[in-house]
Amino acid sequence: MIKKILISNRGEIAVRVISTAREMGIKTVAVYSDFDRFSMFAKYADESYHIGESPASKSYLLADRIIETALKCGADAIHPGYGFLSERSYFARLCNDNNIKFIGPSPEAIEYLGSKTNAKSIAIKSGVPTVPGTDHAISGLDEAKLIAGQIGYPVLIKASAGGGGKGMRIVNNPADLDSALRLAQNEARSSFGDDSVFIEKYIIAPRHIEFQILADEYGNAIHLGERECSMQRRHQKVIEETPSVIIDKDLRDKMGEAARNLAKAAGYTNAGTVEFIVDSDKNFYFLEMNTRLQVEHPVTEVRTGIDLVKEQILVASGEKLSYSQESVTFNGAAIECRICAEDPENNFIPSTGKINYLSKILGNGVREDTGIEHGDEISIYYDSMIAKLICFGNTRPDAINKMKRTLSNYQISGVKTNIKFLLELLNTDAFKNGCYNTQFIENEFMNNKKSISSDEDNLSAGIVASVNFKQRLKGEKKLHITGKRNHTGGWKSKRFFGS
Amino acid sequence: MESKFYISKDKTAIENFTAIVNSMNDISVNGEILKYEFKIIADDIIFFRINSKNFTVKLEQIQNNIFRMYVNDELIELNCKTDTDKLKETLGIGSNSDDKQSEIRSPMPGAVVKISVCEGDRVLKGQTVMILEAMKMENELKAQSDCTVKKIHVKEKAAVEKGQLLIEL
Repeated sequence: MIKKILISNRGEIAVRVISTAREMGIKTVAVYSDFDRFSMFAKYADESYHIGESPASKSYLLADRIIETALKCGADAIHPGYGFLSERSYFARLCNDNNIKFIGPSPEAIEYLGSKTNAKSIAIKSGVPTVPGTDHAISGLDEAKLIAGQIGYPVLIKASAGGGGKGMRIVNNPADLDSALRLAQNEARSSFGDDSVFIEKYIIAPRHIEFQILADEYGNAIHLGERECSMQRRHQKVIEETPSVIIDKDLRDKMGEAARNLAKAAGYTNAGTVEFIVDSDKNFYFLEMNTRLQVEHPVTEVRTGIDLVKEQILVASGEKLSYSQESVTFNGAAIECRICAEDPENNFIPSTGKINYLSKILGNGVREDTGIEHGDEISIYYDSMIAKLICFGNTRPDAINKMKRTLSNYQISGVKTNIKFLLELLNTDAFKNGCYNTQFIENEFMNNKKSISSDEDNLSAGIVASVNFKQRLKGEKKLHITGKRNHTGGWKSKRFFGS
Repeated sequence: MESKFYISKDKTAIENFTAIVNSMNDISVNGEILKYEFKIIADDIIFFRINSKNFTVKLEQIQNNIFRMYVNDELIELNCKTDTDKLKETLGIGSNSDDKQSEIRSPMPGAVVKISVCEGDRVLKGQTVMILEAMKMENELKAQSDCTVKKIHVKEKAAVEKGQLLIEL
């Protein structure tokens, strides 16, 4: 059994992994950059080691330095979290070479499934449906034209090494193919250092539905049901939920079986996610496989009662899966919202700054995964996620209502957040009915924001607030002029109570 | 201190409400008495208890008289003026009546990925003028109003600080 885990990651996912390890009686080691010296995860672990400067390229991406640290502190395993080195096969290989357990799949599996073209061919071999298109990187414009003509427009150009929407272009007619191809290749080269792209049929109004799988080293693989991730903005997931309203037991069994077969065919071990797109007729097609823990894994955990990180650690320790497919049960409904420091009023520009106020009321059925606390800085160095809220109820409306009340009372000052945007999304008819696809936010929501007439009480409060603000402002100016402002406290710290 | 405030629901509309401040914790709005207490929670978050009902207000002063706020999650924009504000307006002093944007500054530290306009270009409201990269995301900077590009102060690939002048309009 693993005795000491180094987490080669930061933020909420490092906190998440440390929590389970601690529950299992396993020692934890954090590695941190200059910026993260006193971040939550770096304080939470049993031991912490400085590995470099704030930019990830000078700390969290330094495979050699992380391995060196693991050897120095006697960690016998590394958990990579998501992002950073989690899907770099050379890092997994480096772990193996140094007799450190990499908590994830084998380097070969990462390498093989990391290439979308390879992943697609393994899907075809194992009988899993795939989207019509090329199974190899295309050579140039002539080939692109030929293939696009064969499969029919619209087509999608995708970076082979891509992710997060980079190097991806939709082409609606032949005239746009040339420029779209060049743009996708440029973006792929600058983002991934690899400009190979492939072309496939573009599915209109698609849903993005993924299956969590777990596999051990003895050929056992199970699926833990689906996650509906269609609520996306610019290919970034915004809200995830399970179950999906369009998946019934038959379809779940069918897609789950496909995901298991694919994992087995790839010789996959540990936790992974098989992504599908589902069209409006409920045809499903394999998209890609993510060879790591996902950001949205908690919705699966609360619905199945299975701790995915615990299973990851057990599998990496060489144990058999503690569940069979038959013993996995699905209960209730779970939904996750990602609270991010960004400005929805200003094209979702990331918002940096110091969190000078943070208050929340979680309560029954609400889980929060976060690595941010009061006084922390949201910087340009890392992603803008502040917290994930996961709500669980007996029914989907229960879970949604819990999410709404929690978001309403989640108060942050110092950075702009997407909280109101999330609430607006949860209040749309499309979300309430579960009838949304990956284009909902961009095509329908952003263009059709309804202005609702004000609640009378809220309007009164708004009037009081603005008058009160002007009064206080005047009061402050006066104090400045007369030079009598109390510099130790000032008017801001005073409490005013009505008689 | 002035005690009379005129409130309208948007920038130009007629004044819907008149508020009279009776004391620090007592306001009449169109004749209705609102007794309240409040606590400043953070720079932009103020808690109000008005006639025993609770409200959390996240408030932003957009211009001298214009407030944009979330009251218990509902977005409300109000224009709130005193007699002095109204006098200033008639005389044409104080807050600039012209809403035209005169410059674009970097909203965050990052790097310039692409400049989509040239000096002398006429740009329309909502048009992308520049793409900035920060926090692993590319972000489009858009013109807030129709205008002409006077001067561009940065080059592509340049690193920029928050608040740095990028483009003069």
